[in-house]
Amino acid sequence: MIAASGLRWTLTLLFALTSAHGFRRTVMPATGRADRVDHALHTAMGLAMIAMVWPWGMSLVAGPQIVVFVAGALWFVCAAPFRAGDGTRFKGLPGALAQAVLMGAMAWMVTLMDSGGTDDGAGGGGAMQGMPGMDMAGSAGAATMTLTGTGPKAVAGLLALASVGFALWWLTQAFDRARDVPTTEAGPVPGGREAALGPACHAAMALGMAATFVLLL
Amino acid sequence: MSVSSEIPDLPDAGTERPEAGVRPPAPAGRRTGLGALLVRLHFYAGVLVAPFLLVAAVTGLLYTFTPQLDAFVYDKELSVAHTGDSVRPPAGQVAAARAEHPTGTLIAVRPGAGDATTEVDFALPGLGEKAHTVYVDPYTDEVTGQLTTWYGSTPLTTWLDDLHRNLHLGTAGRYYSEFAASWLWILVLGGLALWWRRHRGTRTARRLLLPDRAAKQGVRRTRSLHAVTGVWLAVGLLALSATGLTWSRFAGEHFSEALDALRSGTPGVSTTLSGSSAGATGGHDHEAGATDSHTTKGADPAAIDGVLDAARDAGLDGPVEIAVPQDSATAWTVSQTRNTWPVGRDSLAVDASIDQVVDRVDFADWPLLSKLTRWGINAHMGTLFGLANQVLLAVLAVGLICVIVWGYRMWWQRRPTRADRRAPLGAPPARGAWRGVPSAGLAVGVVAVVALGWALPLFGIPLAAFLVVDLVTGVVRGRRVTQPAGGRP
Repeated sequence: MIAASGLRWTLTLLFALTSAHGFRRTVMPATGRADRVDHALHTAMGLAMIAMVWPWGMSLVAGPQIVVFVAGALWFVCAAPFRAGDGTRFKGLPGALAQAVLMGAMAWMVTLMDSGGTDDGAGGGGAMQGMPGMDMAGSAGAATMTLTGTGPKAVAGLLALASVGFALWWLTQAFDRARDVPTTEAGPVPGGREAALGPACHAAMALGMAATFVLLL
Repeated sequence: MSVSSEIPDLPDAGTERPEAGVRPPAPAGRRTGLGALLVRLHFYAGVLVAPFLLVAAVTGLLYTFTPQLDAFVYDKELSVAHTGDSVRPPAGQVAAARAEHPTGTLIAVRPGAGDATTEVDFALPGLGEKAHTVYVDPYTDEVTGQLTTWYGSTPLTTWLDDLHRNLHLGTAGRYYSEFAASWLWILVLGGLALWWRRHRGTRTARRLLLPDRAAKQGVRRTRSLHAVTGVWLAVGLLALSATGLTWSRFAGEHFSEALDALRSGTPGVSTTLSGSSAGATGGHDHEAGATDSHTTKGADPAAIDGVLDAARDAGLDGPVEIAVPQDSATAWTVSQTRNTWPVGRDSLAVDASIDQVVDRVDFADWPLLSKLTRWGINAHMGTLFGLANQVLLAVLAVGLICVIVWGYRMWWQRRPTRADRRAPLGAPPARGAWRGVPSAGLAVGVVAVVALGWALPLFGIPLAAFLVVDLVTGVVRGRRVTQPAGGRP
């Protein structure tokens, strides 16, 4: 949960855009089965992140979220060698590992927020009171969670760094792909950007998550 | 002197725009890579931000002269015609001010010295942060005038300060100055980089620092003046941008948070007199206040003499401001107000019942970042080095105005003039400049810009808005171009 309303709305917009892209790709008829699962997981991830930055998100049941994200992490790792079209069997593994790390990070964050027992339906900052390992700053309903323990702080710091690293990697991919789009003087050919949109959305999601991890420190 | 460069002028719209179709390879010598991206950034930032910078420069220039304007307009209030051998005790001056102005709560006194009058501040309902200041001749106890002031500033200075900070538009107006400050350093650094790159291969100090006198009238000569003046002003403009941002609304808030996180906030004396842990431990407060329930009586103004004597005995010299507590459980504070170098900001808390110093914070003990902030503020306001500081600020303001005017002139001079393609202004740099920059570099740039955009919201939000508009424009134009004639109803 984030106190600063500007940042909260910015992150909401960011995650909404990535979720919208994920959902669109999920329901597109041309999307393959495995990709459909990927995009559904990205959509869930974006929606969960939106919930995480708002007070009402604290009252969501954690169990199903944890199951989805742990399963998602396993999915990306296990499915990577079987994906077609990569040339070599393990070419897509680094990307899959990055996805798995972020899925695992989601599960970790949800677990951390649930560890104080927030599934009682109480909204706002009051729901977080007494949560072990976390502090709340700011007024009720507009507080920012921060970690207090050294271990969780170190994990959040590492995840922030990893997320920024993933974001840089995906952004580089996005620019590489966008550069290959046939271009007219007036701009890229419509529809040509689709290939760049995927890694761009991954990068946006990773950057948003990095910001959230930094706020937890 | 001739400036030879592999990077030519920006193309005219009328000569460079091909027919619809696939983008041709870049003409020989055309800017590519980072240079093209910098040109595009500098052009759009300059065109869109310069009006705000122009307003800031003009209003800042007016503010620069406030010491002289104050001396001229408020001579009767601010100074005495004849100085005596020694000033009278401040209690008598406060009593004289109170007799002249019976209403309001006494909140602060700035004792006069030399030819300066004593300033006695009263808080009045409805004045908000402002105060009603009564000016008293420290040699005769005669009241010389009364003004509504803001932290000691005269109405004229306050008016010009408001004009510079917010154009008298309140909170909304503050966005203009923060917007200008947030982009000024981008324009300066971008301009420096462009000028540096422009002279690649032929770089000499003379070419970088002196105008191209060999250039005939035209865009080349104007660019030379624009860039060389910018180079000379760069350090000053960067300093103005940085110091201006420290007390802006959004970026300033982030800066304060960063100072607090680094334990570099401005320290203050503890004013709690008894029964307080802060007082017992000697800890300093940022916002000290009394908590004792047995002492709620207002402070006796007559105690000011003993308070000032105690402060002087403790070594607090020069001009000071005495803050009057609103109850007897709170100490009086005496703080230096010397804004010229060396800045004097030592501060004492004095228990008026025993006329003893109970807490002290010296400027020398401030965290380095706090000191830098203080020096920066004073330099930005033209007080740090007196007249030299004022002259420097005036030169910066006039120079910035010239740079802006030359920048717009360059835009106008680049306009296509051929009869069949005439336009009022030059074409903006072509879209797609990012394609010439390596993807990894772009990725790092994007992350850096996102972080900067968060730290400086009025840099980030306008940039994001511009990129969205630019993207949509590109998509719409792309669709128009690729549609066959009559292909869509």
